[in-house]
Amino acid sequence: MPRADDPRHFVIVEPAEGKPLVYWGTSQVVAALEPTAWPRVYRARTEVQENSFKRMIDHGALDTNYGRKTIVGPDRHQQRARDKREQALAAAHKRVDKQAEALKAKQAQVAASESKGHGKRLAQRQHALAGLDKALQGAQHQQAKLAEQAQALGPPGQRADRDFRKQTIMTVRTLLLENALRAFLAVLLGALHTQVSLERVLSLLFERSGARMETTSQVVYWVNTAGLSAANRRVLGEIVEGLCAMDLREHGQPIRVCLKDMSS
Amino acid sequence: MQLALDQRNLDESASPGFCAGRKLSEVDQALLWTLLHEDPECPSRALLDKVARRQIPMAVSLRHLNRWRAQRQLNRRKGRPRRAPCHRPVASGSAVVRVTPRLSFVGVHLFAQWLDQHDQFGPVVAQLQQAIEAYKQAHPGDDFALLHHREQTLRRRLQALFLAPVLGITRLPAFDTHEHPLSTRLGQGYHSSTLSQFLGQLERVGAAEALMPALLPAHAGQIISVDGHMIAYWSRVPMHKGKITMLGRIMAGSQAVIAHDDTGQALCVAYYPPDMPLSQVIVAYCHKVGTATGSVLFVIDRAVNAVALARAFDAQGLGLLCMLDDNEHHGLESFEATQVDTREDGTRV
Repeated sequence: MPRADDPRHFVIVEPAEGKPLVYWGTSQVVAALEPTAWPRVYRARTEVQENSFKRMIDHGALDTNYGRKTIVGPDRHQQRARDKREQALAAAHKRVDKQAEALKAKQAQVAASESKGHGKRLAQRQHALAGLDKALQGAQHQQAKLAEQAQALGPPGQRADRDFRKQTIMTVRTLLLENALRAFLAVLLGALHTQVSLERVLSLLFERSGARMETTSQVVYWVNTAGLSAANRRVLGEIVEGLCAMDLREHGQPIRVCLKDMSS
Repeated sequence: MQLALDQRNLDESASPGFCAGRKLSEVDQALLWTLLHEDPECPSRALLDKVARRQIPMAVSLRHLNRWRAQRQLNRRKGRPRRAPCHRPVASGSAVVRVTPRLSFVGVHLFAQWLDQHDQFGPVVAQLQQAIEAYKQAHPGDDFALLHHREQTLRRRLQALFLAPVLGITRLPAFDTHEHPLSTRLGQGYHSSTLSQFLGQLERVGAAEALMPALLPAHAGQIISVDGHMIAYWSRVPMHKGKITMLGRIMAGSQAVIAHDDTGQALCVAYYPPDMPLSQVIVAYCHKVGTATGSVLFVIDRAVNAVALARAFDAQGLGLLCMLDDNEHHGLESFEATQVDTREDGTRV
């Protein structure tokens, strides 16, 4: 059923099996993107964000808590529960009032029937009165129960929130690092003939030990290849060649990177 | 390799990788190290001859030299030395200025050099200095270390925090317990207490807001993706709770809302308590990101209260692309649809 003033526009992809995938967008999206592009743009989010989060958890400490300060404030959980119960209690009040009014009206009808000497109608009205009386008792019981529950919540409590300032600084750090690593990898991949993932560069190059020598004309870094498999050694060799092609410099001197087995 | 005879005039403290011993100075050790890297299979006796030919007196016994080689992992196998067919000297024709024979995290050093070369920390330090100046003006009575740091100190400490995760250090106390190459990278190491204080002082000057613009590229992509990431937090204090997705538990924590552009560049982060539904904060967040980047199209994960959210985005002049929750429709019969295209895989749009 179309809803009144619903600003959403829908694009539905019907796969061979399973439920259709329904995308919706606002008018700005409709103006900017072709309907056929919507699924691709939406799917790109997974690579951009979900995988990025995984990478940042792995090597960016995204999941680490920084800072122990807390800020104590009103208990929102309690407030929400209280609001919900107060709403229910107000509804129960209304229901009791309504039932009481109905009961009163029915009592008047019964009295009228009695005074008029109705036979069958009096019986019907008395039966209805008994039903209303029972419903009123039920509503009153419900009201009492809700009032008791609202009472049980006690006085307004307090609950803490984390002070996010340190956490935000360190997450900005993580995001800066991730941006820098991506940019570094993009430059490195530009100098390579094969595709290498960031994870592989981190494990093969970043975490390895080696040696460094600075001379008057260049700076030489050796990367220790001890313990590497032949395949990894080949990839590391390519990475090292890529690094040499990146024209890295230290204090204005060119950096040369070499492999070296330093196990002996 | 020709080693300059005036090498002994080099600043002795310029070789942090070697500690001057009673018999072998740092420069002696650098010379031996260089000769051994030219020819790792060189027997110690021949090595001493080479040193002697350079007219550098080195009063050291063969045994001592062998021990030194073993300590530096420059020793060779027993037996007659094998001659490598073609051993290219690594730094021919140049004198060694500084040698670090054992360097951990070589790749991090190279990455940091690349960062320096492209002045990646320049804008960050500049933003931080601005924040510090603003804080000084707003709080003239306050006085703590960060307000007096030189640009170089700020840069070094920021680099220490920045590189920590790629050095395998996730929590600051690990700076005291894990081996890290900060001394070879930054010229000095840091204890966790220094960096904790630094972080505390950054918090005090409100560095989070100041550093956020450093995330923004010159030209952000057109389409911004936004998603939340819940992090669990353990505390004995009663705290507000939410569903921590990774653990599948309702517990205390924090909710990071992070925006990336379509090239994968991270643009912004904001933290919210875990009990706050994303739909309550997303409009204000996207408005903030849109103002900072100039992009108005946002893609977010499946949303609840879709109609209300769509109305709110429309009212702000922002575009939102989202997926409808599977529970909100019963397949194609819920819609009056018109076929637009058939894709390569046969699915109909």
